This record gives sequence, structure tokens and C-alpha cells, in this order.
Amino acid sequence: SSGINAEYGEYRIEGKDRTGMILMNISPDNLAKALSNAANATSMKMRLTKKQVACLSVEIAVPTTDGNGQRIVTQDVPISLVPLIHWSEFEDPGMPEIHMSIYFPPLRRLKNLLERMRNLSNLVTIQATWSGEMTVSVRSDLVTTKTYFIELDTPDTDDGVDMTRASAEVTVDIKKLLLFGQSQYLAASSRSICNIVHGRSLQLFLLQDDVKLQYYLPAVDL
Amino acid sequence: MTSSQHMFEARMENVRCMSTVLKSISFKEHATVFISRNGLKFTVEESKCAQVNAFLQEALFQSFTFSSDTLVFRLNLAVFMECLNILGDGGVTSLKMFYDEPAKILGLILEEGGVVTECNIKTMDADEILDFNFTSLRVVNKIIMKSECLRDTFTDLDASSQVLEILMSPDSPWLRLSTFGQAGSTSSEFPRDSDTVESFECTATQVNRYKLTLLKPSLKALLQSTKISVRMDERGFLSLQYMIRTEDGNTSFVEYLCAPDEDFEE
Repeated sequence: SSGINAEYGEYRIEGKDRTGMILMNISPDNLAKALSNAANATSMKMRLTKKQVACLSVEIAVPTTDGNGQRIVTQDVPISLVPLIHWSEFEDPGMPEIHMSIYFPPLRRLKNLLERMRNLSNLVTIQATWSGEMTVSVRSDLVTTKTYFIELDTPDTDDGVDMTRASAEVTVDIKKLLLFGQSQYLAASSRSICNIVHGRSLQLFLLQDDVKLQYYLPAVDL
Repeated sequence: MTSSQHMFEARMENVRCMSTVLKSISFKEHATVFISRNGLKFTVEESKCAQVNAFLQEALFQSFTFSSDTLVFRLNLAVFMECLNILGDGGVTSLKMFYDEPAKILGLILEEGGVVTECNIKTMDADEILDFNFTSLRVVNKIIMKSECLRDTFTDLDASSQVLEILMSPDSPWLRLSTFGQAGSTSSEFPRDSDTVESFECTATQVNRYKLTLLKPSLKALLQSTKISVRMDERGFLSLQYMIRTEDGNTSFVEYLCAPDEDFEE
């Protein structure tokens, strides 16, 4: 989700209900391909259109090689509209009551660590305390490793945080956790928040400018 | 001098001094580790015909205490290397390693930029290690040269050849490496008066063949090394000793021993 007016020059929508929302299914690969021309774009327009099927038409204005004009590249990405009766399936699961909220150490550091640990085990355990300490550990028949991070910040928390536990931990699939760190969009300056529901799930928020990426990982039974 | 509560304990300021040396022998999953007051030796064997030894002498370590005479165990080298590299190559990682019996756990504590990792690796009992009986007393031919001149030759060895034939001689062609592959035979010769040859002690002409698959892994050590010593003994056994310069300017040695290919009939 993003701050609407900050990003778009023009924004017009007529949704199906009072919220003015439209829900559509789209292939991320197809959308990514369509947007791959946008690196040097001067402007971009996205419209819902109906060609043979419903499409998200992406029009990208690219300067011509002689620098004097521009050409428009249009790509139609097929979509399927989600009928109103199915909208409840896509609702945000909402925030469960979390036991711990802490900022991750710098993501590139964490990613290097997880990539090494991935060769030792499929599962990783993340544990954190309110005093800004986090441990990241793996265990197998042959080896156990435990990495300690200290002096991490804890975000301001509001309702929905149960602060009765001094520490919380959860064990998740290491490959899935690595996916979170994979994005090229991650700048060195991006911060991410780690929320733990003890023994149940890991929730990660990546914050960069106006974009918020939210990622849920369920605990894996040991 | 303080005594350690561990049977063996050693500290190294920069773990890369160990990991770069071990990288050159890490072509098999397991290694046999020998600990003595002189340092550590890691041995990797291949099909009973070849053996690689990496020596990390006590002087490479900031501190080294060992309260026994000798200690031998089998270690999963692949896991050990992952642990040595776990804090990445951004900065300088320090290492403390220790070993305890009867737990038979090899412990590592790595630290870099305020982040600490503890690893505990289970070790196993060691199998018998082959003694190649290679002694300098029985060496017939010995050449010491700079590694860089052999790099291209070794990298480009014809993989379709079963063997690498090595000729060493007090007369021309001095040192010759040959392969016999699908495209035909290829030879590289290294004259004794070349700049790259530092020492030449050859007493008799010897020609021996060695299985190429056994020698290929030694390329890793060659690439890391500054100097190589090539020796052949009376039986035709080959010893390749590589001198590797570590991050902090110390030197470490990796030795490659290989038995001649018995299928070869002269």
C-alpha cells in the first residue's frame, strides 16, 4: 500500500462500493515485464481497459534517442476482476497480538548470515528481547550456530502489543525468510521491523519512503 | 601464561588466514584434523591414491594452548567452512576455537563489528590416514618455481585426458607436462633457466603419469599460492607443496601427494 496522493500526478477511480476500491488478480511477472521499460520513462499511465479481456494498460512515455521527442510504449497486462462477493477472502488478516517488536539489524548483514545458515539447516529461530537484543540460530544433528545482535532499536508500539514477555521467539523456514531480503528495492537506508508472536508467527515490515511491504511467516513445527 | 579450561584453545585475529588456506583443500566433505603443539593439520584423502594436507602452524595464531600431546578427529569440512565464513567478508572477523573431550565438540566464537556468532560442531572418530611415506631422503627430482607460470597450464589441462604425464630430468626438456586427450596430445615445457624456476635439483630422468581427476583439485591450492615445489621420489610418487601467503603476511603450506597411475606401461 502507498500514500496515494504523494506518488501519483493524477488519480481517478470509481469503485464498486463505498470504499471506491477495485480488486483485480494480475500476474506479477507480467506486470514486472510491462514495467521493465519504465527505467528511463518521463511519465507513465495505468488504466483499466477492456481489449479482448480486461487489462491493465500500462502506457510508458520514453524519450526518443535523438532526445527531441518521446514515444509511447503501451502494454496490456491481462487481469481478472474479483467480484464483490469474494472480496472478504482478500481482507488483510489484521495484526495479531504480538509479543515482541524490534528493528532488524541492517538487512544486507542479515541476508549474508541467512545465506550461510541456509547451507546448515532449513529452519531458523529468531529470538528477541525488549532490551534490543536479537539472536538468530540454526540447529542440525551436526552443528548449532547462534548469532547475537545487540543495541537494536525497538519501534514505538501501540495497542496490539502484549509486553508481558521479556523475550519471544519463533522458528521459520529459512528460504522463505530469505525471500524477504531479496528485493533489489532495498536501499542501505531501509529499515525493517520484526514482530514476533511467540511460537506462532513472524511478521516483517519493510519501510522505505512511502512504501510499506508486509510479510507474514508462520512458525514451523519442530 | 593463563591456562585454558579447554583441552585445546586457539585465537586468530583474522579468520581469513585460516579460511583461504582451507578453501584450497575443500573439495571433499570431510577432513581429518590433527592437533599438536606445533599447530593444526587438515588432511583430505581421495580414493586412497591422493592426499592433501594443509598446515596451519602455531605461529599463525595469536594464542595457542594445547594440554595434550596429540588429538585426532574427523570433521565435516563443508560445515566448518560455512561457520568460518558466517559473518561474511565485509570486515575483519576474529576467531576463537576450542575443543573439549568427552563431548568431542569443536567450538568456534567469531566476532565482527560487534556481532558475535557461536558455533558448536560435532566431531567424529578419525579413520586411518594413509601414510604415503614420502621422505625427502628418497627424492630423485625437485624443482621449486613461481606458481604463476603453472597456472595457465594447469587451468587449461585437457579434461578429456585420463592422465597428466610429468617428466622431470637433469637434461632438456627439464620439466614437461603432457596430456593425451580426444584432440590429441599437448605438452608444456619449462626450461631450467627460466626466471620462474627458483631451484632445480634433478638427478635422473623420470616420467610418470597421474590420474587427472586426482590432480585437478590441486588447482585450487595452486591458484592461492605464490610458490610451488614439485618433487618425485624413487617410486614415482609426486609431492606438490604450495606456499600460500595469508592475509596478515604469514605463510602457510598445503601439500599434495599423489601415487603414480599403475595402469601406465612404459
